[in-house]
Amino acid sequence: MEFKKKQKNFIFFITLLIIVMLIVVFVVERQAMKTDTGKKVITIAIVQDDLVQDYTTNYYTSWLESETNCSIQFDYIPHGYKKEYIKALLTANSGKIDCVILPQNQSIISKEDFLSYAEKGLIYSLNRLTAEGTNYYNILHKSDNSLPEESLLINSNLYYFPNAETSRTSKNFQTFWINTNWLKALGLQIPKTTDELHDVLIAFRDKDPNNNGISDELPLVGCESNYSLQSYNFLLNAFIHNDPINLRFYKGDNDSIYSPITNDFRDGLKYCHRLYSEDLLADISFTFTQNQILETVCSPEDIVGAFTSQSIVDNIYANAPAILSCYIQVPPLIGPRGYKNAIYTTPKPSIGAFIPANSKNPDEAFKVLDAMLSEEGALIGAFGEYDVDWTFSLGDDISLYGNKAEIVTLNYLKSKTQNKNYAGAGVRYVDETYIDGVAWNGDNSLVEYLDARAAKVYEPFYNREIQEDSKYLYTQLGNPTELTNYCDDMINKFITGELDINSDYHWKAFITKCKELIGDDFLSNPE
Amino acid sequence: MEVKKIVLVALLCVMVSFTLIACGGRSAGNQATQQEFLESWVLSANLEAKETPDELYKAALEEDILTIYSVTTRLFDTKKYFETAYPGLTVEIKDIRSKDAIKMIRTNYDTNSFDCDMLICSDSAGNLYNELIEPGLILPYIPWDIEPRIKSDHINTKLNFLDEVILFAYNSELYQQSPISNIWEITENKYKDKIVMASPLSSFTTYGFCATVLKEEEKMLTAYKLYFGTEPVLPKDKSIGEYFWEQAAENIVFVNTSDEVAEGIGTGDNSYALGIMLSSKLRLCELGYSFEPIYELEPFAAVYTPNSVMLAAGAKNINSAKLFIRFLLGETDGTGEGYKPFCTSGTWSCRDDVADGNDIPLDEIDVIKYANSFIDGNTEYLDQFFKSLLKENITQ
Repeated sequence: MEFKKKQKNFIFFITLLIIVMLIVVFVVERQAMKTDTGKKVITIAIVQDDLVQDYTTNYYTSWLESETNCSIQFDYIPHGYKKEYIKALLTANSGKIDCVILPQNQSIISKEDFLSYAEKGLIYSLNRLTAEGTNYYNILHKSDNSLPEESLLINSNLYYFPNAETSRTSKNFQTFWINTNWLKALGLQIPKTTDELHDVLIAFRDKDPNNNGISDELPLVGCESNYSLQSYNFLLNAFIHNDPINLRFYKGDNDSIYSPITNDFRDGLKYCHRLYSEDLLADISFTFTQNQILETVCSPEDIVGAFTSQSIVDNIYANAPAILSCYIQVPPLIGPRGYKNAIYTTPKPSIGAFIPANSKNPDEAFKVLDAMLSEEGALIGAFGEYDVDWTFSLGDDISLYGNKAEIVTLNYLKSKTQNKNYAGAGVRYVDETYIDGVAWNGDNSLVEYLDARAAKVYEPFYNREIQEDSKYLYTQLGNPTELTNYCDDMINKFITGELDINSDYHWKAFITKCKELIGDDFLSNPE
Repeated sequence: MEVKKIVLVALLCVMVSFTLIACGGRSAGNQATQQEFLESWVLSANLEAKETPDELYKAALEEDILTIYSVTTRLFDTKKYFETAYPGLTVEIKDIRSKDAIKMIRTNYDTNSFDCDMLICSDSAGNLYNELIEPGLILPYIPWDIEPRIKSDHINTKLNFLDEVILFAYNSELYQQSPISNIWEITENKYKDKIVMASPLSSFTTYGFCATVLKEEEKMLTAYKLYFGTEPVLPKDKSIGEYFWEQAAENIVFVNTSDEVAEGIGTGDNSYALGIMLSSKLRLCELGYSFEPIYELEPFAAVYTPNSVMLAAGAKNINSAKLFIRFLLGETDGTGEGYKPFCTSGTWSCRDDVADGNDIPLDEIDVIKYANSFIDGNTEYLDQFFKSLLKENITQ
């Protein structure tokens, strides 16, 4: 009996031992297989995104590995120490990181810092690697010049891979969104003129459109975080061509005209100041961060009447259909002299990825990043796995913009947790044909659908023939950055009343300073 | 020892066989189990019970978030009023097309995850019955005390809680009155790129409209003769309806939704002359959109397209769903807040004690019923026809 028990135990342990050995052998073999193939191991530093399940098992990672014959591993950039991490990895003697992938729309490294790193020789110059035949070269030399090389050069060198916005929506500088529930509650119509807007905002302020018995309404909000969130930029376009991206210059009959020093612009500022002084343009517009404005717009108390943004998702959560459905785009307003205008913009690509100068495998890192720029890589990066998450249209689908669609999404990945790509992070350049050719997926609250509808409303009012070229301006002007900063600051002061827009003394001083910064030679025909 | 081995091997074989049989029969077994589950759910749902709102509310407080698949954004207003009226209850709305809602409910059933409690959609593409009603995946709940107030024909296999039509509208900034009186006028060259409508493959209601035109051959023929004064010379193997759509599509700019149609003819400088859209979009005129409906047209101006509210079989939050349906229908006397967001221009009430949202009664409009059985029997043909029509005519 005792012997049998011992025998049983013995058999059990032997079995267990065999199982453990088998597992060990399997793991070792697998590892050996990996290294035996001669694949270079590339280490990518990346910020973990909650929308991506697992970077290691991600479909995009597997695809990149098979395309480049590299083995990819990840080093995760710690939240809260992103800038420190980047600095440490760039200045370390032995580089353990081969490339850095940056998140979309999140500046973990400013352009100034990047420039400084590049100038110190800490970033690998891509000039040698972007040879003919690479995807990067092909994109830079596309016939439509949609991504001009000059827009990416730093001191005549290429230092980074772009994350480029190419959609029609990204070219619509600004949309004015108004709360339709409030309009309906008060029996009002969408305003068409600046005067009508003033009346609507007064009603928003005084007539309790959210019906809570409290005077908590913010008729119009803005935000200083970027130009498209500054609602006054939209209002000024009812007075004169106001294109802050191009330093607020526009082409006149014979020369460039600087809008801010014109009487029309001054009238626009007076209008904006009036809205501010009457509590119609909320003062939080000049103090709140973008996140605070977003929280305010999405507040369950329903307290915001109108705002501006490039995409509606800049100020409303993408997964809040009830709030998204409240707001509708307002076409460009007609100003007192009958002027109305919308601004077409060409968004500058952000830094998608770069290779540290101390990378041990810069050529392989380039190969991996360059694969992301291939057509197939770009489509995976944007839409996921072919035939699973998306497919090509058979020609009977209509895109979000109303044209023939190229791409039909089968499993819409945006804003969803998924394991198919890096949720927009990293290198990104999707051809306009594809990005503007996505068929509507049937979701009425889809952000891309709402933005596309807005862009279609604004596009007829683009005045592209008078739009200045910022590159030209930067080469012609004495001190463009100082001019921009000064003008932005003064617009803010005139609207908030820190300086009196009605005072000729203040206005003349403003004009004089602007002229000084522009340089007399350039500005021959100011008002 | 040998015997023991044989017994062991035999036992192993039996076990393997059982496993294989179990695997093979799993899907059939699953179906039977799902069917049994649905049957027991219907019994436990107690849809005939005479429950009061208070009783339902009390029971609903024990339940989870109410999930609704809906084709109408107006439901967000009803949700807001409902959550105010019944504190502690939360509603989640998935705002999607009928086509996708039907697909999602089918998928929920196939994967045994009954995530949806209620469905609000239209049946203009005719497959609601085949896909969901006939297999018992959705069913109507008619509150006992509201039923007497519901107009006849609104309760059948579905509960049609709101009447709408898909109709022609014209740009009222361009025209003082309707520029057309006969449907064939839209095939005229002067309307090239001046007409906007949703793609029949994007919009269910437009699908129903287009299919109804194809079905109503006699009416289309009469209208043709009336307008052109001659018999049509139809290409070989073409029906009059097909001929009409092929001619009209050359003038039409296709978009995705009726919202875009309303924006196309009602706003901006780049406006279209005519649109074909859901009548409920007439409410946008209150916001300043400039278009007017066309109520009189040869041979018809509009196609009827009711909206249904249905319970999803297997709903986990049945009491919340019942309470919401009562609320949506305006409660016992029709004065409840829930129905008000739907009583707008371009809609007609399902209740005899609630006034229509539209000024003009439905029976004073040249409206016909959508071709339900025609659509049911010809889905493949219709899909193919519309696909080829779109391939030829979508803007590049």
